[in-house]
Amino acid sequence: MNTVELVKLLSKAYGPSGWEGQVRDVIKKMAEDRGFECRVDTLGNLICHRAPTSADNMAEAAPQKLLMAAHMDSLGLMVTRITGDGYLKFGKLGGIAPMDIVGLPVRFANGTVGTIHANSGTEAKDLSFDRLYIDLGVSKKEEAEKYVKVGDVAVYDSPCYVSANGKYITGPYMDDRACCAMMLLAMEQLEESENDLYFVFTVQEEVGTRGAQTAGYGVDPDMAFIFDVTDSNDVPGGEADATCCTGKGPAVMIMDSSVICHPAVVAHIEETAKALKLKVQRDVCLVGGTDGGPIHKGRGGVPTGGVSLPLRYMHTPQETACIKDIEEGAKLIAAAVCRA
Amino acid sequence: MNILDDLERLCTETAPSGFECNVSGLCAGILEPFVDEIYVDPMYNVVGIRRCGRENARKLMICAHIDEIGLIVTGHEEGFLRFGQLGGVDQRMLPGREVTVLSKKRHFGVIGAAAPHGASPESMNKSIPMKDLRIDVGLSQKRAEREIPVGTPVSFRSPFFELGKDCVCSKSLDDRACFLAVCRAAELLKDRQLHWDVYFVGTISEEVGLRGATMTSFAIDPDVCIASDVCQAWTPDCKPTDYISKLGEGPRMPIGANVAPAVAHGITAAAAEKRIPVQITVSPSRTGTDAWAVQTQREGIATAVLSLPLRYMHTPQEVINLRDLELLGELMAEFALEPGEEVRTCLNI
Repeated sequence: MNTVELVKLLSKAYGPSGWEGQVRDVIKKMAEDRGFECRVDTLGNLICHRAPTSADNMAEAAPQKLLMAAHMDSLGLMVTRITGDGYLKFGKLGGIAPMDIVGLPVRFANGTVGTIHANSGTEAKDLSFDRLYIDLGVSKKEEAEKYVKVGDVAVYDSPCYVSANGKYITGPYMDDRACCAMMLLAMEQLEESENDLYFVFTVQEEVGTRGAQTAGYGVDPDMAFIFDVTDSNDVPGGEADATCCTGKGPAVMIMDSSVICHPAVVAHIEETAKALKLKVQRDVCLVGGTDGGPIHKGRGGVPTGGVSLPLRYMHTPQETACIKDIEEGAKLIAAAVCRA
Repeated sequence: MNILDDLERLCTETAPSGFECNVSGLCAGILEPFVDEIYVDPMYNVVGIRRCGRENARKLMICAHIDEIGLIVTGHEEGFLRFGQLGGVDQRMLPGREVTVLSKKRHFGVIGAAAPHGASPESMNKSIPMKDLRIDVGLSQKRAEREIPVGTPVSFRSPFFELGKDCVCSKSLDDRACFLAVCRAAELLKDRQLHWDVYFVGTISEEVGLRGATMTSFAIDPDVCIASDVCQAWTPDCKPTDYISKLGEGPRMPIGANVAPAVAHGITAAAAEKRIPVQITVSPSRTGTDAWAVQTQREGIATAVLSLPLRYMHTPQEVINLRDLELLGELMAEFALEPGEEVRTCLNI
């Protein structure tokens, strides 16, 4: 499976925060195919383990335990009420702006599809979740209830496609399925290593980095690497809002609002990139947190760093990333975690 | 220890949140003569331990944070640096400030803004948003990009000096002054018999979310923790209704949900015994200090906060009274020696 096929497969899998079962099954199979021992913890995090492979692990000291994390949950829309004529009112799971989802096709776990619309006559400035609804193409509450219940969650059903020049991939949920793909690609190019490696696909990041908190506690690592998307500055009007852009390579995490990366981990990733002759950027993200927040504060503290994937249009149904950035990110991760 | 000298060394060192590696060694060096064991953990938290000699001893943690607020470089614009904040920086005080850019080869910088000539009358009464300000390092774009990469931390640069009688003015008194009070407590406890093991801790990254306190309190697993931090002291522009502490009237202790009553009682009793004045204030919910993170760590930790009154918090010209600092150290030492009937009964010490 090539990168594009992998990203498409993952971004289409159903898995909003709290309901990650379907996407987890897809990832688990791929991790097992790559020889990892997988377990699912109480909150639903998928923890994929590879024991040390090199002879040095006969040394007396315990092998260094590394945790790598990308979140597998996505944004979602939860049904809160079904109107008499069968329209669905909903709330959000994660950070969604109403302007981004008008006219959007959505899909429920059971495959039911619908479209989001705003109350007739609503002006752009008045858009709010109160004025949005999902149309399932039914006309009665009883009919809608055959397909959807209050509490069910819809995900974006927008298409996933490659740009005309073949360089970019657009679709829902590049955040953070593109990084899940990056991690899976890294998992198949690992070198021999004396490190004890735990690749974790976390749950409920979009609603408060909840899975990472228990996964970090459970794995109890010596060092952690976080893989998430970051805003890019190569969009009109966004020049000063971010420190990196798409197409210029993966970005070494310096900080976000939840973690300031450990200088030694930052240096290690940058040195690895240099050794691999990979061009990298630096990511200083002033708004928004990642799984790195709870993981680096876990137990007695964990030196933490990471690789960010620059992304256009974060949290919209058309998130856009550069395919080469994903592939080079995977290369960087694979080498960095084996050599740490 | 020499309070004034050590305070100057601590405050003039540069260590914004997340970049404490510059100051951890210095902190450990000041604390080391007064403790049995000392270490800097992998996150640069500083921990010194006095053992009481009992098996399975109870544990008291006394902490203050060692990070300072600062800035971080986010981009380059014709040689000028764009920046974001590390911790709660007051944008009103930014124009005209001097900074040290903590690149491999350090650079001095100034934060400038367009001259007032020709500015509209309305804009003269407004502060300039941080996102519109730049750091001037006097470099070309090419050199700035090469020598000061994105992600470089920046520290405020201001002199340390004595102000009038008993006061000092400096950057980073929040919270290095309290860390020095923690060291002073350790010094006062040297060679004294203890009921419990006492952990003297310098925590990292308080200004960005009480992070080092979260880690160290898990690792140490104390029974009681006193977090020491600065609190706002009265200045003439405060409203008459603001009930806040005053410089020179002793340490402050808040009462509220973040403070275990038994510990507060013990501190009050220790203060009364030694005739140390304490300014009592009320903090109904979160105190905004390390105690907030420590309180809910593991199965819950009995916390209290002892504060050092400070004027002009989060500016490069913070002001404290050295007498308050000394009394704060004495009070923490006194509590460690005699935590009061309630705490002793509760912990069986």
